[in-house]
Amino acid sequence: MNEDRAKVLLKQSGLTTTENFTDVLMEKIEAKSAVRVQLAFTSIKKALFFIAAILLLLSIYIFYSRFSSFSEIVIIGDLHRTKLFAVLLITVLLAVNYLLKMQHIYNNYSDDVTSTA
Amino acid sequence: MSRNTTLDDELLQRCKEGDTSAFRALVNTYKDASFTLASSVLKDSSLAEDAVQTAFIKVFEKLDSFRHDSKFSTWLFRIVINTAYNMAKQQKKHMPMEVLSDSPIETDVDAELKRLKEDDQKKYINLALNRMKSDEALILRLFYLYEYTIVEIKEITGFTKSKIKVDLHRGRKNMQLQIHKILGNETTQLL
Repeated sequence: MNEDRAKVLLKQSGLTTTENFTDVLMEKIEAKSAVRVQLAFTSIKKALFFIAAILLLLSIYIFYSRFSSFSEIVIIGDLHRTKLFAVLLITVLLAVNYLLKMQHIYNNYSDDVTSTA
Repeated sequence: MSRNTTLDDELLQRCKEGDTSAFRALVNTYKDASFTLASSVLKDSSLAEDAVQTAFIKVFEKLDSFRHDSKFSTWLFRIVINTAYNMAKQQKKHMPMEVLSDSPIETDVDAELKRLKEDDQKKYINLALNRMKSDEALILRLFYLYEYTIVEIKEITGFTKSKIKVDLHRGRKNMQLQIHKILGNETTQLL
């Protein structure tokens, strides 16, 4: 098949969407926008992740540089610094897990709203 | 695809200012082309419409990130095609949904060809494209139907220039082969 003939044939290969395509799409977009206004969660999540990261880095710095010469931190009593660090690390991980769960619920809710729109 | 980019830019500016009617105008302009390209990849009209809807929602959400480095249509089609390929991967439906036979369709060929008007031609061409590999059908349509250059197709699809050239060549051959399989030996009127 030569190029000219291919062009002539393929010029006829355009397809069209269903009639209500645009209306359905705009309804989905409006529904999604409404959800986003109600649950402006993403920016909060990013901020919290940022804070968690800073705290974690700060903790690492404190425990491995400031208190590297001590086996126990005197101001907290006889609590071993490694145990304290572990508690702090678990707390941060639990917080991150909570945020991820919230994000998952939010995403599912958004999808449900848009798919039913 | 010949289109006044100034008009697109005006509509985009209005969209960014929150005018949803401007976005509706953009959708109406590009929905059919987007659907045609998504169909090339997904081979299923229902899935293709879903992919195009998802792509337009992405576009709406990311309008602020459009930097006007390329034409709006180029950016849009890139999103449409990526969405379609991702959906195809998820659905594992790179292959046509219907069970396709390699033998010619059992029809009264002589009678069929006599009635082979424009609508019939369109039907057979789309059937042939539907039986072809996604990449080839997509590139054929981008090049011949929407008249994009190879450089633009590279930008839209992310394929290399050599792949595009090879797929164009193979695509033409395969389209001829598929039309031959659909219509049997009596393909001269169409080809």
